[in-house]
Amino acid sequence: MTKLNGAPGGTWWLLRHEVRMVFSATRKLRANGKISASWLGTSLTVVLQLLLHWGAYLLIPLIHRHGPTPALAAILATAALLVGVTLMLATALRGSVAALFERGDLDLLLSSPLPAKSIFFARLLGIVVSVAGIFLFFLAPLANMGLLTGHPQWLALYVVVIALALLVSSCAMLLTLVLVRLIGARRTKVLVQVLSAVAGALVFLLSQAANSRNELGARLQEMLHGDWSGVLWLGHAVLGQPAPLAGLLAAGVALFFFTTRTTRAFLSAACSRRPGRAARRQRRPAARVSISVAAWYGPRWSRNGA
Amino acid sequence: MRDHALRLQSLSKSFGRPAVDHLDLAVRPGEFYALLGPNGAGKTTTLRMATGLLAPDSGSVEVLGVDMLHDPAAAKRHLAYEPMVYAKLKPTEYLEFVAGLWGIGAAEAAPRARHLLDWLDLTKHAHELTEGFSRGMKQKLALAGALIHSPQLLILDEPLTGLDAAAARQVKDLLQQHVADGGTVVLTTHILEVAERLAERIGVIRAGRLIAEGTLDELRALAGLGADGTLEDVFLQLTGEPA
Repeated sequence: MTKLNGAPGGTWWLLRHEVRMVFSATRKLRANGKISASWLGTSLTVVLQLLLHWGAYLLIPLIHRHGPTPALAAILATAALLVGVTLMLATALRGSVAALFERGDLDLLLSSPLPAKSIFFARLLGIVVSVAGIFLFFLAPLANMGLLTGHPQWLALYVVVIALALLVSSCAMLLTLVLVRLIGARRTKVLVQVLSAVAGALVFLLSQAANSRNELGARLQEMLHGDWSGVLWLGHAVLGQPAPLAGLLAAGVALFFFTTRTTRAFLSAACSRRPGRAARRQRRPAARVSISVAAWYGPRWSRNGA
Repeated sequence: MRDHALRLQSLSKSFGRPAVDHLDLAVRPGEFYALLGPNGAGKTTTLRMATGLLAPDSGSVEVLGVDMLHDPAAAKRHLAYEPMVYAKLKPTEYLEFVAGLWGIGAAEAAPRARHLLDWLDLTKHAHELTEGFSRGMKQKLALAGALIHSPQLLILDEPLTGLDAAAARQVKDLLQQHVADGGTVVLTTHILEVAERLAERIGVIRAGRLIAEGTLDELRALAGLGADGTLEDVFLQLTGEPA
């Protein structure tokens, strides 16, 4: 188990750096070389959060008074969750490509005395935080207002989002490495952009499908009478049922640790190519965003813990 | 005192075809060593194996007596490999981060960071994002990052490429000062004048093998050239590259 150490060079310290790098994209350079003030963005964030909380405060009692039956609620929750997973996967794939191949700092990190498992632990957790952060921004008001209005089961949203972020980010990192192995880093980046666009389109199409109420209603009736227990199990997690919730979280944590342990070996296999022009470009301090593929440690070195 | 700052023994790596082929190389502590070779000779692959970034197919790497294979963390504690620069960090933040990678706290690193930024004329830009820096400024900052934790062995791949004359002079002065302070520098360069003027010993690599090594005078003798032979003459003679 990776120890969370807050001292310089510790895993927690490295995670702080990861999170800082994820959100540093918002730092802008002014013409005079100074960094632009972010008070406007912060103010907008606060205002938007207040509005979302207010909306959630009005919505939750309505859902509980006029909401669907438990069976229908499970179906709707499952559908919402699958849409969320699609969007999460697109976000996590972009994050994985950036973290592994665009940021270009793995040479610096891996040439330091830090254990590689700490580096990949922090890197993957950084993606999890960024993915979960986006979704919690919109869903946390529901959970918070649920608690405030006497429906604490809404707090399950926190667990669901974190568990899904762990699961999806881990899958995204493994998928990225497999894609790099199969089609190379540059094409992987293009494919990830295409997948993101497709995910967005899919969500749009689903929202359009929801508008055709008759057809949707018929489908939902079909689902209620069919054997969908496997899929609806996810929806029950969203609705706050303890067993599915615990199962989802356990699966997320397990896949997360499996991924942090295996990423280096995957990277080695995915990138065991000659460190050519791309790798040299990565090392240059020009810090330009580029797909760079370098050959990392082989399995033989990974046994030694660094 | 260790016998070697860097010792590579029978180091091999193949990417389909051999990139580095049973390479033996030893660099003494406090030495300025230049590794030269034509494109594709295996210089970068050699340095990546020396820094623990790439696993050799066979052979061993020792950094100040520590085996990179058996204790990579301890071996890496002594060395620095030319790092990259984060575009969205300020130089002070960047140096603080790199120092932290080697377990040095911000307060402890701050005086050295100030000294390095001052030396490299970057103090007035210390609180700006590096994304607005010129290539030379970024390269100088990267070098400051390599030196922030006072490594005993500094390994650099083409550190002077793309620098203007003033920046190149600053980098060369800093590298010489590092050696004067007892540190070791191993670098690759295509700028033969740099190797000629700075390096105490020069290794010439071709097709993954060290084909010649020694002082400039020793290399001249190996190449059968007189005292007026430049390193360029020596290099072309030894590698068989067309002039």
